[in-house]
Amino acid sequence: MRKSVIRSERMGESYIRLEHESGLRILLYPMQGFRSAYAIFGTDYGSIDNCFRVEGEPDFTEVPDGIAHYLEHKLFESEDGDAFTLFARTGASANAYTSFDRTCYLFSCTDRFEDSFRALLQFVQQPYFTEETVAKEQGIIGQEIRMYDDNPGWQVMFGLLTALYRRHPICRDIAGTVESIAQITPELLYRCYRAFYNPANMVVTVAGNFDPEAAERILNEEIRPVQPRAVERPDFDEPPEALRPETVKQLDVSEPVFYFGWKQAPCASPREELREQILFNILLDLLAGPTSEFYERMNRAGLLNQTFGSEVFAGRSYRALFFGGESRDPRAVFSAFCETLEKAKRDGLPEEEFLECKNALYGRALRDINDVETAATALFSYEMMGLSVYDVSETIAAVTLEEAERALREGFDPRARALSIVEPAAR
Amino acid sequence: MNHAYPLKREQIADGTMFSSVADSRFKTNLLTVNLILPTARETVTENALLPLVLEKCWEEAPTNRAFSRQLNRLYGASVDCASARIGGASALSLSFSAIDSAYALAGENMLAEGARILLGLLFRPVLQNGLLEEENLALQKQYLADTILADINEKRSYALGQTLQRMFEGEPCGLPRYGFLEDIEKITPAAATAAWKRILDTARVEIFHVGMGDPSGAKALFSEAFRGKQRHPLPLALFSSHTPPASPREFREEKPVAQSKLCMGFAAGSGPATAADLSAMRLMTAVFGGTPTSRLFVNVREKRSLCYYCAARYDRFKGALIVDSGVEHDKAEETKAAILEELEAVRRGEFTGEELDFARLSLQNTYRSVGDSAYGLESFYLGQSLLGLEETPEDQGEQIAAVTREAVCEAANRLVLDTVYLLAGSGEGENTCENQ
Repeated sequence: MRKSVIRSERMGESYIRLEHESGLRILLYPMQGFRSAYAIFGTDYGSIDNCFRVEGEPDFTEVPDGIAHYLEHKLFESEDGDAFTLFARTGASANAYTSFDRTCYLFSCTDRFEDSFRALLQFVQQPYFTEETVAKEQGIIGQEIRMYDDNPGWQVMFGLLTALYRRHPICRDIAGTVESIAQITPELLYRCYRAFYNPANMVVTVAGNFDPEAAERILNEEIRPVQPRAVERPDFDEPPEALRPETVKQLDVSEPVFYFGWKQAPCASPREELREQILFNILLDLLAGPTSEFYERMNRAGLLNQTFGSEVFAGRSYRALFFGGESRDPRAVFSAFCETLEKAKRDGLPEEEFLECKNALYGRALRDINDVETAATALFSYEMMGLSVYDVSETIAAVTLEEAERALREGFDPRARALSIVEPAAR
Repeated sequence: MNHAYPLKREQIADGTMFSSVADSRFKTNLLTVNLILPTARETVTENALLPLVLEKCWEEAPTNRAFSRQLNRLYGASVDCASARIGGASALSLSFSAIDSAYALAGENMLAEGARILLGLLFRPVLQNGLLEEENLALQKQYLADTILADINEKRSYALGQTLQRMFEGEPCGLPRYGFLEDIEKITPAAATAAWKRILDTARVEIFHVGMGDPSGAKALFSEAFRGKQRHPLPLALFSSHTPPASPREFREEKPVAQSKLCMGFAAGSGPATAADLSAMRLMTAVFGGTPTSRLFVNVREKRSLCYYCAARYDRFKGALIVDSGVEHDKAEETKAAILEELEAVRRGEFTGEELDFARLSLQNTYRSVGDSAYGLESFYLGQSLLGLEETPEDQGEQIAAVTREAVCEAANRLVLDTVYLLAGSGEGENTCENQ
């Protein structure tokens, strides 16, 4: 394995980065004094990857929506039972999740790290899908989908995604639909598994209380040599304009819940993409955070309360800016925010507030690597982007007011915006 | 047993304690002022409102915007308020969390700043003619009303709340978390100001520090502020004295939802449990429905495919064990029967040695992990302090090790089904869409 040490002078810290012959990347971050260790084995594969071509194949394969999440549930099952049992034997707490562009398997433990780590590496590399086990999951995932059907936060976010995106699969539910998951077969699961669970497409991260030499030894024993095969994903050919300006849905809620946002095109270079995300994080705080004139005005008018928040929603092949909360009049809030943007574009940004927001983001980035779970997760996420977690504080320190003003002028195209509302169902 | 107790605890004024876990592993400090009060029908709404009012601003930063900017200058420090229930008591808290001075670019004393700000919020709110400022009060009243109404939005927590309110009807534990809508209007600036003074006068105050910094400067500021104040902390009844009804009470509420929610409340004995009984009940909860190898997860979810979640949790202060699940409308009865079957199996001891070991290992892992999070440490040691105990999480893990199979069966046999609540889908109005 090729080994390097990634350091941050600013924080006086470092972690070990290994590259296995298979292409698997491994980050080891021992943390002094902690009792627990937290390990993630994840792949660069999520709900948006429902069309792909593996190197050497003539055509793209299209698979049912929700299959990455279904695969995650089913990978927990092996011929001898389920993987939870492996971790139960060591007392570790295991879990897994699927997002738009990632699938992660993880555990945390305070004892017998080596056994749990071996179990994690083994079960993720051992798919076992049969007609029977695949059929059984329909009921469980069907109820998971049902649970989200009733969740206003989830529904309002997907309302916005379906308004913003015309072709990008980001607008489809991560778990799929009851109909789409009914089409999933063991053969399809194996096909996706072979395409995306190739070590060259995966990252292992461990943080906390463990011996890095033991971890390296176990990795050498357990990682199977697989021929790296490139996976090609289609260009979604997403136009810059939003598909429609507004979506409205009715649910059993007390007051309208809303999301509005702008679709953006992500940068090809990871460093540029990180810089843009940081600039927009600062802008969001500056323009719409609790320190902003806009929030103060809306709050005093009784149009926004502290449920209001914003985020840079970004991942592989997508970026958007999201603003959401509860309001008796979401359309008034949206239109007031659009006016705020125009005014800021005209007048420029206040330098003092820009520096305060930058300061705040620096502090929050530092707090992001404060415990074993957040540290392992942050290391994993930035490695998947092709960066180091330490690039974040360096980039924050370097961004300027001029760049933020440029991002403000370019990032909020009126044709790329939309509003989503979940309103109370008529009784 | 008897691991070194890491909490440094000191009385700094009458009814006012300052506790600290100095821990160099964290790059941050967490400073929390807990105001512990009895939960009562008359004060529950005011007590939910006041932390919201106080956390927004203070004399030095007299608007929410000015205060938020003050926190941004302190490297994005956060100030949060919460009102949690500990059995029959309410813990109102204001907390300050920020990076340590070691990482502050301009060398600020972050802990002392945190203490100064928390004291400012508590003792120096923005006043108008001697009363809490009207505009902030009106905004927070509206926010509390919105929060009470929005309880229905999240169906899982709504169903749990409804179950507790019905199970503990007429008792402090049954009072709704955010109080009553009809009480909010009555809270005038004069009433809110009186409530602020009442809370400061009658609360037991528990101040906690967890983090890498030296808390002595912060402690001195708190001591100075509380010393010499004539306060009258009220006695607290932490443990519920609930007795279950002769036969279980069943409730059904219809809503236009895609998934029905089933909650079952079991009475688990009133008053404080002995250490042995407590550990047995905790282990029994884990075997029954606390982990992915539990009876409920393996049999009700995995084998019968009835639901996505079906879990049990035990509350030592309420003396209650609650099972909750999200199910297809026509599977609620089947799920309820399946849950009761699993409980019967545990009562009869029909679980393997492996199931028991797995549950034990899982709980021990949880206890050993408590110390790795600042919030986990704060909440654990607040519990110990209120109970007058000096146990560490490791001590509790070791007590779990000593629980026998018979004790687990006995614990299951102590459970009495008390309340069943079903949020039933009415099948109408589901997901109507426009523009799609």
